[in-house]
Amino acid sequence: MRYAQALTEALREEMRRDGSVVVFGEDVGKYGGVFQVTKGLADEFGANRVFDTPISENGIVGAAAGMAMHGLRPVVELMYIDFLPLALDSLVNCVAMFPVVYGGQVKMPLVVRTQGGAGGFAGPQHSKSLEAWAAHIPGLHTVMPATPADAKGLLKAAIRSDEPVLFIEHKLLYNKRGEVPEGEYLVPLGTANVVRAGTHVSVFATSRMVWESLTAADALARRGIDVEVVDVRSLRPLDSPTLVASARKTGRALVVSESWRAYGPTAEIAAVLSEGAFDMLKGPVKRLGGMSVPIPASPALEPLVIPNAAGIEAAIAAMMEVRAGSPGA
Amino acid sequence: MLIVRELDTELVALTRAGSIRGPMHIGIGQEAVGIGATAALLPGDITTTTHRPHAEYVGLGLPLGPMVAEFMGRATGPCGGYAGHMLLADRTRGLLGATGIVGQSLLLAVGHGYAQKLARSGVTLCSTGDGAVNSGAFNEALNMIALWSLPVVVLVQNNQYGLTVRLDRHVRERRLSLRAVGYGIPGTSIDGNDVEVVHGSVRSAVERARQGGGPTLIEAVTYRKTGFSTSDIGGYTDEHESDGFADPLELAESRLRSLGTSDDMLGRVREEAVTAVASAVQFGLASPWPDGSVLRSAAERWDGPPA
Repeated sequence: MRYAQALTEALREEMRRDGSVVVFGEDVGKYGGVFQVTKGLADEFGANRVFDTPISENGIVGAAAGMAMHGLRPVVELMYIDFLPLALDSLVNCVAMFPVVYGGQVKMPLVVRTQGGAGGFAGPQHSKSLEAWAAHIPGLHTVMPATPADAKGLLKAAIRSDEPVLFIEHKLLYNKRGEVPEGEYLVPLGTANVVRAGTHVSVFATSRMVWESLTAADALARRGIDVEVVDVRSLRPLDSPTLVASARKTGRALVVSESWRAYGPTAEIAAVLSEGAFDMLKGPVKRLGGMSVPIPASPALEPLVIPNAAGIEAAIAAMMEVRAGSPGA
Repeated sequence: MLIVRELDTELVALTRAGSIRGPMHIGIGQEAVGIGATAALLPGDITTTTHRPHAEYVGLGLPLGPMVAEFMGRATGPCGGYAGHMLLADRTRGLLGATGIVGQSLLLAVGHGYAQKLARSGVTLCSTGDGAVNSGAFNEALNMIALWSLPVVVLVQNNQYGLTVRLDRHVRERRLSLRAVGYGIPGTSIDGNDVEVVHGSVRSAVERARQGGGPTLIEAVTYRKTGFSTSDIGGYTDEHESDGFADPLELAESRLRSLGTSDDMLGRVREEAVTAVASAVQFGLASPWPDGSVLRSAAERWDGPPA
C-alpha cells in the first residue's frame, strides 16, 4: 500500500483502539488533510475527535500540550515542517520539558505529524528539512519513517507512547508503495534499521535519502562495491549501537540527509560514529547534505541543491578509491 | 491576601539573602486578583498562570512549606526543586500549570478547556497579564477558546506594565476588555483591587462556563507596586501614577471593620499569616537538596543507548 495509506491505517486503528486519541490541525477534518492522510477519519470518529483548526501553528501545538496534560492523546498536524518555527515555543518550552520540570506530575502523550523535503518544486518556504531543530531538544522523540511499513509501525508506536513525538514524513514519499504488515504492527521508537547489508561501506541515510542510497547501492554493486544502507529512522534518541556497529563492520561511513550539513543530523551522526568506531575507520566520516542555500523553486535549480543517487554513488566511489601506498589499502 | 503579601515580602528578603537564587517576580498590590479568582473555583477545575503566580498558588491552597521549598530549589517542593518559582504545577489542586513564557499559559488553557468540554466537566481559569495580550499566543488562544466555546475564563491582570513599559506605551487601546468583542465573547473590565468584586465577577463567569455558556474575558485593573522582578533597577515610573489604585489589603480591612470585625481579630489573622509564612520559610531552609538522580535518568533516556 502507499505510505499515505499506511499512515491513515495507523491513525484509524489507534483511534478505534483508544477513545482518547484526537486528531486536529489545518484542513485535517472533512477535507482529509492536504496530503489526504486523515481522509475518512472525521466521518468515522466525528467532529469532536477529528477537527480543523484556524491557521495557528503555535496554538495547535500549545493546545495539544494542554490536552495531553488533561488526559487526551492528541495527534496534530503541522502541514509543512517549514511552519515548525511558528510552533517551537510550545514544543520546546512546554511539550519537551514539562514532564521533567513539573516533577513527573504530567505526561505529554502527543504526536506532532509533519512533512518536509524537496523535490516537489514547492519553493524555499515549503521544502525544508528542519529535523535538527527538534532532534536537538531532549524530551522529544524525532522520527523519520522512510517506508510505508515504518510509517504505520512508527506512527502506531508514537501514538501509544506517553512521550511526545515529532513525526516527520516526506512529501515525495506519500505515494511510495510497499508491503505493510496487517494489524498490530509496531516499530519501536529509538531504533535504526539496516535495510541493505554490505561489507565495504556503510551509508547512514534519513527519509527519502534511504531510497536514493539504495539506488546508489545497486549501481555500486555492478562496480564491485558492496554497500550497507542503514535507515537512521529515529534521530532522537539515536540508535547509536546499530549505527556504530555498522561503521565498525565496514570501516567506511557516509551520512546522507536532505537537511543542511552544518549543525544538522549528519553532524551529530558523524560525531557519534567517530566516537564509537574511530579505531576501525579507514578514513574520516563523510557527509552529504543540502547545499547551504534556500531551496530554489526553479526546476532547473532545485535538483542541484539536494543529494541524489548519482552524488551518493560518486561520494562512495571516491571513498573507496585506493591510492598506491596509502594506509588502509 | 495577607499570606500572599507576607510571602512576597519574605521572598524578596530571601532572594537578597541568597536563600533563593534566580529572578523572583512578586505581586505586591495585585493580591486581590489571584485570591479572588481562585476562590471561585471548585475542586477539579484547572488553573494556568504566569511568571507572577503567587496569589494563584496561595489561593489554590498549595501548602506553603513545599511551595517555598520549591522556590529555594529544595527536594521537598512539588516539582522536586526543578522548576523555580515560575513553573510550579500541582495536579491535586488543578494547577497545570504555571509558565514563564508570556502568553504560553493561554494555549495550555485551550487544551484543558477542550478536554473539559468533551468530558462535560470542569472549568479553566486562565490567568494572564496585559503584557501577554500583544502576543501571538493570546490571539490564537482567544480565537480558539471563542470558536469552540470552551469553558475558559481568561483573566487579564492588567497591572499597567509589561516589564518596564507602561500600558499606554505598549497598546493603543487601553481598554483591554474590548478585545473580547473582536473574538465574539463577553468581556468586562473590573476593579482588580477589590477582592469581592473580583470574586463575584469570576464566579459568574465560571458558573456560566460550567453551565455550557462558554468563555469570558475579564480584565482586572490593578497596579504592580513593585518591580518586574528582583533585578529591576527602576527609574521608569512617574511619581503619583499609582495614586488612584487602592491597596487591596487596606480596602478589604476597612470593609471588614465596617462590617464589625474587631482590631483584635484583624491582628490575630495578620499574626497567623506571619506565622504561616515564617514556618514555611523554616521548612524550606531545613529541606534537603535534590540529588542528581533525576538528571541522570532523564539524560540517559534522550541520549539513547551507548554505542
